Amino acid sequence: MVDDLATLKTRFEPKEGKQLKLDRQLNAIRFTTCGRFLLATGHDGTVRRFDATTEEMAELKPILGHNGWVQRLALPQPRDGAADEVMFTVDSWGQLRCGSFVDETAAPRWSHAAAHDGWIQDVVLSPSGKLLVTCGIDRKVRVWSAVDGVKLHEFTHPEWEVLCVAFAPDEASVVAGDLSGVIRQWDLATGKVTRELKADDLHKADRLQEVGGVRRMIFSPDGRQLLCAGTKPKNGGNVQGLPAVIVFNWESGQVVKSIELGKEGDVYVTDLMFHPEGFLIVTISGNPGAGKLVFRRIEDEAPFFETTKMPNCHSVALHPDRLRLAVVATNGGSNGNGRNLDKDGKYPGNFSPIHLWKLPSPPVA
Amino acid sequence: MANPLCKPWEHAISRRQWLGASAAASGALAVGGLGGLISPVMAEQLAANDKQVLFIWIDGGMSQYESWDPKPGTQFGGPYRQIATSLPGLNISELMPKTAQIAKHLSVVRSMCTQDNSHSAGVPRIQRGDPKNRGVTYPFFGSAVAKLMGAGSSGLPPYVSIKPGSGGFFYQDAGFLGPKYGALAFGDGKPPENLLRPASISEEEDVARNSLRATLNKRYAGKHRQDNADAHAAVFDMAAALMKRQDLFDAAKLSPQDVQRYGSHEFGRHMLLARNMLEAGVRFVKVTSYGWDTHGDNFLGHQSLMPRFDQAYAAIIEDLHQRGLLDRVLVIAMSEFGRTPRINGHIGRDHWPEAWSLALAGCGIKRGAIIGKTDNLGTFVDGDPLDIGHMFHTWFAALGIDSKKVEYDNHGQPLPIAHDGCHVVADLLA
Repeated sequence: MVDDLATLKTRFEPKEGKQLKLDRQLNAIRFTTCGRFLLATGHDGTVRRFDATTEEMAELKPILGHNGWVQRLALPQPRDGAADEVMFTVDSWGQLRCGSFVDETAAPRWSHAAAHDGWIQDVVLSPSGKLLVTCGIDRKVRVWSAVDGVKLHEFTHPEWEVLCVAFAPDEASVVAGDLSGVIRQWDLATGKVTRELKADDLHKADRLQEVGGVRRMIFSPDGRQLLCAGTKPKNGGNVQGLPAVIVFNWESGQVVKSIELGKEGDVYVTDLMFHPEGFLIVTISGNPGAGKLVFRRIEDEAPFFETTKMPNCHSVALHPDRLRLAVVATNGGSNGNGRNLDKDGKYPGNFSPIHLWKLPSPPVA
Repeated sequence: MANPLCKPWEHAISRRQWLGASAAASGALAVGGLGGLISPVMAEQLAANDKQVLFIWIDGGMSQYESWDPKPGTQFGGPYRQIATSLPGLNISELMPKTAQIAKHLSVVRSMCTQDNSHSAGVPRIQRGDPKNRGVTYPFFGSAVAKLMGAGSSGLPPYVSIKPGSGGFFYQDAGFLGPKYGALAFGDGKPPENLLRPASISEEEDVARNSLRATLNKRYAGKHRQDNADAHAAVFDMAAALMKRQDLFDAAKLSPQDVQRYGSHEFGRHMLLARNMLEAGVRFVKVTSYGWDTHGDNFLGHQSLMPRFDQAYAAIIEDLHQRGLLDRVLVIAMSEFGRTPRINGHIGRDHWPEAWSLALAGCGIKRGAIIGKTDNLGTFVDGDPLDIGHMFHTWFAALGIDSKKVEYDNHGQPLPIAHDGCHVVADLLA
């Protein structure tokens, strides 16, 4: 029997817990697969670490060594009961790095200071954990050995402005989503583009600006659907648009559903993941103050849970225990024209509180 | 210790000192002819002056961090790196690699500090030079140049504006100077509709109808304000001049190499048209680019905005230089303000008049000057801030107009052509 929305809400509605206060803004957040650490990539070139073994979630010393913004991170899945304690991180100055998330003093296992020329937009591990794919604003997609960092493949095209990447479920090809809403499947053996899917709704050319694009991309756990997320843009500049997820049937390449998750001011789907029970967990960020955490199944017409309590949500992570959720949001009052000084007469920067949520325990069988 | 955050308009003492000096010199000014716009001799000299202006208006507010004043690796610096340029000591955003190559021709001002943090107030005040309240609406810089220097010998309109969207005659730009000094705007870079004489009307018929129009204009002028009649006649004269230069708008005459160099996008096309207008002798060409108000998604926004600006801007500077025109064309690239240091929740930057940058090149401007600086985080000007009034004095000086001597005559009321609390930035002048 399929649960109705009310039942789903009862089963999975999270309760708001504590906030972790930070002094800077963050991009992406993930729990390590061992569940002992919460990792967050920062605008300050650091990877922030938190001790996830306690309720306190105390902040640990950060991992240094990056420049600019640390954009994303990828973590290995457990093999034979345990996962390698390394993370793969990329930054906006072109560095790709593989290093320990446990020991902040350890030298990186391997790194490339110029893995791309400039801002690396995404990094993803293959299902086997053996390969790594990255994409950058240099219009290149590169595949690396996750073991030693050797570059194995490179794909480029003058018109590709690739914003996100994924491995196809069979690991024989990579998929790259670009600024113009095109998703290209690229065969690793032949080096050829074998297929192009179009998510045109996720892009708009507005005067000089290319707006939107495929910002996040994941496969469904069964590998039968590809989800491409971003916004259906209305305009550039102060970008407005409908946060959206376009769902493709991976085999046929046909769009099976176009999911809109808010109104125009909500703008971007910033992160999405599947809960092991099969529903989507999505964060949304738009106009300053607008932001959402959404739980919904693809097949439904509405979410079974959403909250707008957190301004401008940029990333979400589910703890392996399935009982804890962490959301990177933004402080309130983050915008404003001109000089807005704080009570001490200083010009304040914005920051990203991490909101911790508790999910209900599953009923004992 | 001076307040490092003080603004030019707060310098009441220095302004009073200047007024005192002015009063002392009033006898001399009277002898020099205070009442006229300018003396007839000076007017003649200015009209004979072949200097021109390219005014690139980046509407909405280009981010100084992602352009002329990067602060990589700092709290507000954003994701991008900086790159060195052909001008030693000048690093700019990595989003401007082509501009980096021609930077030796430029001067960059990094200490602009102005009043308005809204578009509605900032756009007109910046383009009018922020004169203090004189009880009249001051002209945009283009109208001021059209009035002070005239059309020159090209026979073409003195002040044209190339902009996205619709065109028309923007008389409002002229303020108290009167509508005929307004901007003739080419919407989307296209000439006014119906510019050509229809084939169904013979040349003789055209002459006859123009004669009739002139007669009716005279009759109209007799019963209405002279300014309006003048503007009406001026627009017809402009149209007549443009009819002879249809070639300027003929895309088929553009070289494919130029189109590629400037870019096939809107801004590239408009900048290429601007180059052709300057070569044809138009006194003042304004090119407007919209879409820079990046309150949201600022960084990926600038990722597509900046390279297109960079491409066309570098191309026109290079072309003007190679054709020997840079010595007589003043090139100004600016917005109404910059963008906030802090990055809002929409990953955007808001409006920031406190510390922003602009770039100058060409006629009368020193090559390679880097004027002013911001603090380490780029939040505020470190040192003496410059207001838009300082720029107007400097631009006029670069064009050979002494802004302390030349005045407007508003129906007998003498008015300064630039904010009289500001002055020329001597370090910017060649």
